Amino acid sequence: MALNANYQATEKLLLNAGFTYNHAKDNWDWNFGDRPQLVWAGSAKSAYDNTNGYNNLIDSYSDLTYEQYQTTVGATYQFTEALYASASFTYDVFNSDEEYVYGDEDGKAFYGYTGIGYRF
Amino acid sequence: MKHYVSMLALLSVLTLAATSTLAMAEENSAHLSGSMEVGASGVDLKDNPARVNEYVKYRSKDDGVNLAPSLNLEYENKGIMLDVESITRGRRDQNHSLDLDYNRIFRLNTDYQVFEHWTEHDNLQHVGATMAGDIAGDQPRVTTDLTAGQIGVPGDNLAVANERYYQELSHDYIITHREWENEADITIPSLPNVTFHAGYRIEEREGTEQARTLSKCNQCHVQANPEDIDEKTKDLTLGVTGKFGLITIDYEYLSRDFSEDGDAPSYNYLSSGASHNGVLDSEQLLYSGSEIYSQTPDTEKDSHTVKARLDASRDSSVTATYVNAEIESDKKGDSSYTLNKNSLKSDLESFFLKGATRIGGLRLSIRGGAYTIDGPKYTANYPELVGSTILDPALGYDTATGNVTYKSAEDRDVTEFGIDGVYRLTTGTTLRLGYEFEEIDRDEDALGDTKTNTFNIAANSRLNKQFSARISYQYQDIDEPLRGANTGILQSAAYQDPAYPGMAYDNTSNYLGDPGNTTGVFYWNSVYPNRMLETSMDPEDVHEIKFSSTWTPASNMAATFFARVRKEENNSVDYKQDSYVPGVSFYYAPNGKMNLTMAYTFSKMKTENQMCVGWYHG
Repeated sequence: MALNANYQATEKLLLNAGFTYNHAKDNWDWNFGDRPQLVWAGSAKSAYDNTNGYNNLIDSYSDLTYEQYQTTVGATYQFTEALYASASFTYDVFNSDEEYVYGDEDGKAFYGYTGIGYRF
Repeated sequence: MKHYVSMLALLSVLTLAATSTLAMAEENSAHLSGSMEVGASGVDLKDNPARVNEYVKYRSKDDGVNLAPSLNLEYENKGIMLDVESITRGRRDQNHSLDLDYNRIFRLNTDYQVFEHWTEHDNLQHVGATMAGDIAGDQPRVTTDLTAGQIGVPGDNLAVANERYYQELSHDYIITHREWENEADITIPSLPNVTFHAGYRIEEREGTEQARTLSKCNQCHVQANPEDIDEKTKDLTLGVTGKFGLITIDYEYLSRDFSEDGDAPSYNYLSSGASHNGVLDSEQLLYSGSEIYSQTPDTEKDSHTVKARLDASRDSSVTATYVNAEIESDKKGDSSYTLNKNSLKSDLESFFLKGATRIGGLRLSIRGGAYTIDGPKYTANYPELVGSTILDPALGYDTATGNVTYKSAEDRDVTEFGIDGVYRLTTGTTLRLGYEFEEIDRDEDALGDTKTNTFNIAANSRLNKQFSARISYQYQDIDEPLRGANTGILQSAAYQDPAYPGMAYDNTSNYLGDPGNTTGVFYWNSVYPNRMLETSMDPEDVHEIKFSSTWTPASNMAATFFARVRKEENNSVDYKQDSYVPGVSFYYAPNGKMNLTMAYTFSKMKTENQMCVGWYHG
């Protein structure tokens, strides 16, 4: 989901803001009973019975979920028709709710930019 | 880095040149406009930057401030047009472009960009999912590369191997991408119907990625290492376009050169001290001892493309396209096997025709053609296996020489045909009907031949000044899609274990008669040839509906709703995949000072499939 807005606050001041949200979820289920298995050399081993929970780890390790939030605000101020200044600030958040496969990927980032420009 | 410096130098010269010509431009009433900006960009990263800053903005991992200049310049005078855009936000976050047109005699476009990308870093713990004894991913043998007793690694132990694992986890896998693309066109005034083209592109990938491999009893001995990446792809294109009356002819030659100069990682492939039926397991392993892996071969490609187009009238045209390409990759064996050649070569040859015309309110296009891929054919020799056992000659292994002859899975002859008709039902409403046929005739019989029939119907309408809508439906009937290899054995009720419902078993004595089992039952002789389960993620039936509608109640407001539903099925292998992607976007400008945009997309995909999971212990 994304929201963006631009607002000419005064004749010289232009404001902008944006917000983006992304949620992703993946899960994996299987029906163990549908798949007969081979134990090479002899008979089936009780250690591989589905009740001991080993097979369910495949489900657990496949549960992957993350969320992203990105918020940006910015402004441009026109000193004269040619001379202006601009600035922007972005705050990004990544939350990884499951650590299987890639470990703890939680992170935050602050990005800032400021500049002065001349139009000709 | 050389390109980065060259580009900065070029832009500096152009900036100075543009500034110095300002006075001259004013004298000649030339047009000069643009902007220059000098700024600073800064980054502060918390916790793990790999995903939140995956496509690196300003800086990859170190907090700090960068000088961030930018330039936008447009200059036009007496048939000369110059357009420069340059944005630098960090040392490896840059975009530069330049367009130059000199009286339409000489045109130049050059683009240069640099960016960084955090690549994936698998911690390998999930590999223990099917291990007996694995408790929430803590199976200690997974990921450690214990080399105790192995060749050239005296005194290794589990603690040291674990330390290597934690060192690998601490690596930052970042790739720096650089691409410099140039295209130039020259039209000689005395030959105005002919334009010569030239292009040069350099793409570089530099940094480290995670490489993974495994040795015997795979889930216990999975290993990851940092791999140096130093790839360079160079493209040179030369061509010419000529217009001769109703006919336009275009020719392009492409020469592509790919090289990898990074050091490939190495792994001490673990051996086994066990033996079965009098044969040492170590003699059956392809690799034993230290070997490099994950090495990308250098490759060269040459292609020739010829297009000819006849514009018989304003609405009718015929286009013919011929492509001939050759790709050659350096390839050689290693200490475990040898090849009978030092490079692998593939050829592509294709010819396509397309015709389009208008008959009353009907726009009709017909296209068809064929291409052939002739892949590499080579023989590999595995001397270590000779004498250890006797493999089935039907599997391609020559027991007398140790040779295995390979045929490329890409070898094929492909035929395509398509017809499209667009009919104007009313003013603002069109109906489109289409049909496509594709036949893939693979040289490798085991992979089968695929025939695909695709039917399309679409309606596009502007209902009134406020509403417009488009809806389309596509159906694909695919006969014998490319199947996966047979993946599971004992896939029938005959092998059900009455003591453990859902499990299957058999006795090795039932396989004594398999080819090659002369002194006992060998895994490679009886498991691989007796696989029964066929799996695939290629559908036999595909249905897809797309819908999009835009509502514009006023000049300051617009809303678009869109949706896509796709259903794939392959009943012969119990494969099914459903996708749902609805979304909406909205624009509103309540007054002259403010505008708002909003977008929302939902995406859901559900897949059902069969699979075979191996359990290993020991």
